[in-house]
Amino acid sequence: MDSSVLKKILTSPPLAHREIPNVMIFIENEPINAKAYVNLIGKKLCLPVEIYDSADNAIYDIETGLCGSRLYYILNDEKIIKNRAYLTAFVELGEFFIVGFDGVKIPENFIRDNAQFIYTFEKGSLDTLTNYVKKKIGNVVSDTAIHDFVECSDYKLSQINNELDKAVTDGDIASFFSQKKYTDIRTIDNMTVMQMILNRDKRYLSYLPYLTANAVGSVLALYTMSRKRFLLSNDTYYSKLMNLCFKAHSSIIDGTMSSENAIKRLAVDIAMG
Amino acid sequence: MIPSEFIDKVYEKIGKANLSNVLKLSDDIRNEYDFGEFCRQILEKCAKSTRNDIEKCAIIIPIITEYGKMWSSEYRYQQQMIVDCCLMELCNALRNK
Repeated sequence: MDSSVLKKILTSPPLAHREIPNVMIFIENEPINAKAYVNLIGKKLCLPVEIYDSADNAIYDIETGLCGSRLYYILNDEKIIKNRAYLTAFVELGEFFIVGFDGVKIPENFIRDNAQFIYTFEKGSLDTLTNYVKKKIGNVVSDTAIHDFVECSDYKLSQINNELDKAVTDGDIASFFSQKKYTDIRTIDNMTVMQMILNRDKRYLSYLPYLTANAVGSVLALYTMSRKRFLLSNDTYYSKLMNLCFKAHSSIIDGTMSSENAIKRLAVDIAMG
Repeated sequence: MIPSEFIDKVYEKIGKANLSNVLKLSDDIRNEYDFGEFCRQILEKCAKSTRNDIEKCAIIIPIITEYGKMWSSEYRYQQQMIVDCCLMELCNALRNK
């Protein structure tokens, strides 16, 4: 990162959200020093920072967002940021900070509709982003400003979004998610289902058809969230969840069950109590 | 070597089937001590226990042994789960005996 960019971040006035209990920082496949930088942002925001790193599963801690407290996510992974379904799930949980590390591009519609504050580490774009944030806060969003710093040249993303819109309009989301080329989007839906399970929202049963492979991370996340909730509430529902997650995870790890089947089995086991 | 005071504390919580309290000790086991060594010392504690604890020993030994084997596997992502679930299973088994 350009040291002048970091200096600007550290010397600009802190944002006035000190009441926020936690900041969630997603780091996926980022260089190790990214953690140091996001920690600095946390200090800058005067917030406790917890880091979620799916690369080493070091900390799974999205509990705060599910407890009803205000939560600000910092997303810095292009794969996640571009993934509309994932972003939509997080919009339901809290507000966003979007941190764009080098090369990360952020879909303009998402920024316009959802992002509250945006930081970026891309060279030369911090001032533009700062101006945008000011406009956003002032409720004056300029499309021109957005286009100044967001490179929305990714045709595929646009195409996916269009097809998703059409699927929603046609009421045929299932066929959309069943297409292999949208594996990432389908996988993300696991997170939504996990949140419902954690919140005892039985609607998750209707989402079972969309549970997909590559769900190991979701199971681990659900496990850790259940653990925290159990320790907070002593509610045996969460200890049962822990046991079921362990079994599901073990089945995936030892190969006795595909991750897709394991997570479906997990959901059914939970439903059966 | 894990301090015997710590082993005693865990053993006591397990014995009382106090799940939430024993889970709080799980982090210490995972972060501070070797789980294999923990298993060995808990089993040793069982062996030294009084006659009244024989039933408890019979419950603890197979569970500890099973999770000890899991721990020796190479799946590092499961380590927290293994310790947690070992302790949970011990508590639940003792609670339901």
